[in-house]
Amino acid sequence: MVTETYERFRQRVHNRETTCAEELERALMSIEENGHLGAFLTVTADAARKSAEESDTRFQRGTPRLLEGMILAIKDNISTRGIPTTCGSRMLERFVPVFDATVVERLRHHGAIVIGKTNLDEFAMGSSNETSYFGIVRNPHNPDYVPGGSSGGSAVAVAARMAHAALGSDTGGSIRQPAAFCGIVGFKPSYGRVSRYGLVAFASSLDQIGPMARSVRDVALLAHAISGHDPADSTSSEQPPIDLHIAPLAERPRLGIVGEEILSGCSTEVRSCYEEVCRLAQQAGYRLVLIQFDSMDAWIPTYYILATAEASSNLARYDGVRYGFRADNDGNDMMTATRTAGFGTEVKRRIMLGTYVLSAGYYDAYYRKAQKARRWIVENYRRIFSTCDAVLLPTTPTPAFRIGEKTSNPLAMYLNDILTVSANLAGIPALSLPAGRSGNGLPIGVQLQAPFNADEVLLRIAYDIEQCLLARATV
Amino acid sequence: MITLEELRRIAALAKLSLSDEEIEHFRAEFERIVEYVSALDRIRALDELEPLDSVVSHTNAFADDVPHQSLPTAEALANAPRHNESFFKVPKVIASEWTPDQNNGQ
Repeated sequence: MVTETYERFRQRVHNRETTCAEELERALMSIEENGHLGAFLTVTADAARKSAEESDTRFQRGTPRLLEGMILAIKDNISTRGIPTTCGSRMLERFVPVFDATVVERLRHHGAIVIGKTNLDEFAMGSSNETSYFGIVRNPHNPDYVPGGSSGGSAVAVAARMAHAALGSDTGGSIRQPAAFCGIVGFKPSYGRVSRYGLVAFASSLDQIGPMARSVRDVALLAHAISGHDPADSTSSEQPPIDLHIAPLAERPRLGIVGEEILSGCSTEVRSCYEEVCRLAQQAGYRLVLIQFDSMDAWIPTYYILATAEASSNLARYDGVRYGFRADNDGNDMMTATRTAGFGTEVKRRIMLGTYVLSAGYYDAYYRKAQKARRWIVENYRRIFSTCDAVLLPTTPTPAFRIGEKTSNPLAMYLNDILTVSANLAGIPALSLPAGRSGNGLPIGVQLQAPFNADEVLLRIAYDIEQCLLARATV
Repeated sequence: MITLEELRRIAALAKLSLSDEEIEHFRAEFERIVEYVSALDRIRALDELEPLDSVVSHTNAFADDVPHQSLPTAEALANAPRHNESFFKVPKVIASEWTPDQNNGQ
């Protein structure tokens, strides 16, 4: 197992207690021991050993870079030059990108060691990591339970200490929900703050890459390294990179808390965990403000209309011509044969839904209406953030569920995303923090959300609440 | 009510071939999902709002018009299921013999 956090690992290297090469071997051992969890699709041990050597040299010379020796796993929908990038799909089983995503390039530049690519729901479509063509991922806290999705492999790699940190992508909660289910920190930055260049597109107006790690400070370090303007992404923000330093809070901010309309839909354990965090925050000096999400009924319908519509358009590129799988069918309609054999059931379901809501006669009733609802949701958040600095809510209505429990009911699976999709629709930053355990030992997360581009404020509050929670644990 | 015919039309548009059994299975799920997302119809507040495409207000991003190194042909073709030295290879999609009749109305 790797050291509990990257920050702590770095101290140990400075104290000459360990080296990057040793840490890497511990990580590789952990990957091997945890093979049954299905977290990795590709392990790049040889290249990682070379990088670890270089990192050790840099430490010895006293010139370590920002992320020197950080062992990093990357979700397999983020492009890595010369390393397969499958998206968990038969369609891209043999796809080997010819370029690095901007985030990967930046992380390498800062000295991170890429240890491999992690499993995910096919094309990041799912909330349980059960739809990958290459097999399911299991929760390290109990292998009969799902790790969440779609960045399930990344969450498991970090939770089971096979890596210091991982990159995930979040279209409707795909970083935060698995982070909550696996007991780690997961951060979705504001839309535009992190380049999407090299992220295989699912729903382009919602997709964001973000870090997953075991502490808020490690997450902030990674967020700093991957953020900042990128000319290769036309929606990239002109804002400077997310501040590396978590400045102390001058005074405890106003924290919006949610009431019955949200908590009545949560399990008793999630609810009491949430209420406990609220109490802790209040004791610590936060001013709690009860907020009202008027737009809540619109969240899931709006999300599933817009996300599937964008997906049906983005996934039109898989035609068996330029890259990826091609069905052995030259006579009849090669494209249809390719797409039929190359995509799994959930991907087909979403392409079908997306095609339906965009098709003639339904466009106004669904797609256009959902775009109006999106504006309503953004305005709802604007009103809320005029009364508080950040919002605290549960990350998921329940802890992790059993493998197979929701696979036969897509709608029940979609409803699991109820508390995460609104941040993507509004483009605001959101972070899940481990906050407790259920009776059977499964992690429970709480979520913080802040106004658009207030990523630094969010990280500051998250760090402060993380410290309150740690102090509680040691009392 | 979504008909099987309608679903077949959607599948054809999406270039997916679904068996009758799959179509029937999809239909049941589809109806529940479509019924659920129709909740937006009951929200009166939406009537007066303008649609929102994106949360970021961006204008077109232009790149400077300067030549730069582009992807070498071999790399661009490296992931293609079939190719020769300079082209992607695809099944023939036009008739082998051209006749004046086929050009009618063009």
